[in-house]
Amino acid sequence: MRKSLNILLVEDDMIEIMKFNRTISKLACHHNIIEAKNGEEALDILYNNESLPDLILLDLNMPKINGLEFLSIIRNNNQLKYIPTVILTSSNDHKDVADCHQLGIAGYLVKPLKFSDYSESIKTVLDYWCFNEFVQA
Amino acid sequence: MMHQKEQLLQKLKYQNEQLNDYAHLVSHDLKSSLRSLSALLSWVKEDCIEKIGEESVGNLNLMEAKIEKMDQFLEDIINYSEIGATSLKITTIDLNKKVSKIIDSLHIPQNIKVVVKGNLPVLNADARRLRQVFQNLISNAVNFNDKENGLIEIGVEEAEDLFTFSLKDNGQGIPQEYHEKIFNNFTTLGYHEKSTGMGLSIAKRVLDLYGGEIWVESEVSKGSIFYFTIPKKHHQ
Repeated sequence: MRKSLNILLVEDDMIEIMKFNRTISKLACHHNIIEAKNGEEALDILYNNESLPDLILLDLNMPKINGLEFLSIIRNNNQLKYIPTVILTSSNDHKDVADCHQLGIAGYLVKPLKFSDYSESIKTVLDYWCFNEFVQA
Repeated sequence: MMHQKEQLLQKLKYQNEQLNDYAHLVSHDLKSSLRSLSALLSWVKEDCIEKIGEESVGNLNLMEAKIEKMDQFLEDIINYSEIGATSLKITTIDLNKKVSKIIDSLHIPQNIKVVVKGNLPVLNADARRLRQVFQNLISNAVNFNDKENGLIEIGVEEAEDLFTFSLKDNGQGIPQEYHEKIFNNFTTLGYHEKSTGMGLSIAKRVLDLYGGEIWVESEVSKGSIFYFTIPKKHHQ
């Protein structure tokens, strides 16, 4: 059964957020999006909310706590470590890819240049997670 | 005297690394700005396509193409600056499989054939770096081929201590005066939408790492043969 998702989007760039919202506004399935501007804000949201998101979409390049630091913190937290996390980044740096996989991720997406390609990849990722069963926190 | 030389070398090495890091960082930042520009542009186009005239739509398309080209430029700069900055990951590579995989991944038009002549060797090398060499040479040969039936032949000759690979095409050929210049950064001889002039310098830099060489023999309008060598025992 296709479900609508609770998604935590961790992204600092305003236009990237606009791109994401514009993409999901055109999807058939309605998802609930929580936005965080950096790792610190995202952690606040995770620590203070009773219900955890189904999926985290994580940018790597961010001020304060960056994506890798954030990932390492949640992977070492017993409550948070089951939340599937997909990296959304502009860097295909091999060290970043290796580091993320080492820490544990559910996907690594390099944002394509063209908005239409970007939309298509976000849609594919969300379509996949719509059909998944999650560990309920 | 010796001491001074060493110090100077150290300093140069350090500065080179700094420069590479800098190129890497700047390119990444510029790339994300470009990504934003590209999205905004596509929205403006989407929203206005019926309200603005044909000429303006044409200009927006040109802007899109320019952004794509600049993105490719930055990607190439990142690739170039990464060579030598990160250590080589050596694995055993069957070049027959590797090269046919590279050929499959390129968008090769129907009228151009890429054939591998004979059996390619198995090498111990860094797969990504090696791919850059073959990919850049093959896509150059494809992109700049002007013949009705393009033919690109990949071959190899084995000597005691090295392999000499060759990539022969029946394309436009390269005038003698450019035979060395083409391996410099940002040198491109013809116009192609995807060409940034970095392909051959990336290939050369990778081969430098292996102690290999690259050169070209060519006759204008008949075609070119690119040769490159990879020593069997490299310094790494």
